[in-house]
Amino acid sequence: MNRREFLKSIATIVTVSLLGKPKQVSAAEYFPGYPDRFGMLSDLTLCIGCRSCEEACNQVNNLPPLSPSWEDKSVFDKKRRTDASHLTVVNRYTIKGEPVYRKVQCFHCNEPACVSACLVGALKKSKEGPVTYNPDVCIGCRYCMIACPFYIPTYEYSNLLTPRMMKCQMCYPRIKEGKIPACAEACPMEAITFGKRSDLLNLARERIFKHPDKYINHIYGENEAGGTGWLYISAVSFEKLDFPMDVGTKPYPEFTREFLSWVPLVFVLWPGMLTGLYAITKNREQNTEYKEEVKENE
Amino acid sequence: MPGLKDAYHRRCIDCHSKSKGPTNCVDCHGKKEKAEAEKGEEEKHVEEKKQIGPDVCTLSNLSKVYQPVKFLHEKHIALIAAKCNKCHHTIKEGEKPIACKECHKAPFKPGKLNVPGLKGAYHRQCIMCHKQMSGPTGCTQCHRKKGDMKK
Repeated sequence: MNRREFLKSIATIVTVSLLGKPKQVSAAEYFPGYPDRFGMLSDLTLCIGCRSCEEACNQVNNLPPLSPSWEDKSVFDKKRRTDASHLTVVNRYTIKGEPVYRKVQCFHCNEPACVSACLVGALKKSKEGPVTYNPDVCIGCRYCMIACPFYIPTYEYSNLLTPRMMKCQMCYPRIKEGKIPACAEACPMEAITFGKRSDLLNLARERIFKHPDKYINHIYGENEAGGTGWLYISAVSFEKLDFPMDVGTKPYPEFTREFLSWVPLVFVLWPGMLTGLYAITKNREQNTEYKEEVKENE
Repeated sequence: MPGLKDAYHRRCIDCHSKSKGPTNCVDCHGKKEKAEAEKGEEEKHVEEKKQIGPDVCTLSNLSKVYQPVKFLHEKHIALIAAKCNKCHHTIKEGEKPIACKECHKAPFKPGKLNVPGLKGAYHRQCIMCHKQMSGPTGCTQCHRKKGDMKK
């Protein structure tokens, strides 16, 4: 192969790769989500901190019984995070002398960072709305824990042989059976409403519109991190309730989309270029050897 | 066993003092300082309304952990001066009330998400009003646990 042939083949490879690129990118392009997907709306003005949701969650997910029990209100003395045996927790905040309760669990993002970070596709955004997890595929890399902007996924460190990543899956099996997620069913105040995300947004807007004195004009999750399946409305600023306010409105996978779209191209271009370089070097060596042979013969 | 009068007073005052509910006589027994005529009229009105609704409602549709709640309907009529539409919010003053379960059934019906289910409707109605009127708001103050035999 001479220089001309090499340049020609590189040009061909680049052209072919670029032709193939739009197809590769389209798979990672903006996707507004399945239209009828479900979500949940937490109305923080209604939550009374009874922890029935926590109790129901542990029962349905075969987790150990709540410790301390759901009736023990001393848990509110400190702020808790989700862990391997508590997929949802309720924290209490005191705002102007009044208690405000906030339920914490997976947000079920429209475009989840955990799903895009998962190397093996153990995490998936289902068309019904919940972000689901398959422990049989999981390799335990815990990238999802690092990727999540809400610090939700946790790991079963106490389980030596078959550890799982643990997070709320919005009772996906129950939804498939046509049932209501356990926490929403258990909530005595119906502070958690289960329904289609689009309907929940309308419901949230209606409540804010009808009671502007009661709610702040913000639906947390409508746009945060590109929009989430779990929405919140509140009487007090979300910042005061430890909601992350720095997540932006861009879906997290978008931060890596541009880079990742070039990866397939590099995979095609790089080997081609290296092969070409190798061929040129080889050719040059052969030419030198031939010339030397000719010289010797002379 | 205490008599009916004592049973009411002990249970109510005990619970109200724990939950910082009203414990003054007039808070439950009507306002004595009102003019006699007015008082008579109000009492008559309350008596009339009491005859329309039940004395005690037993709420037992969704009792997994707790015993059925005995909601003292008659008592609450007196507390809100027989303004039925304070709770039966779909009717106008003076109209015949509709039972809660006529509208509030299973929760989260698509297209009717703004109508809470029966359980949600009761809890919201009771707790929100109890907060305003300093009534009890703890779970076991209305719900007796299953297996709890004490009166």
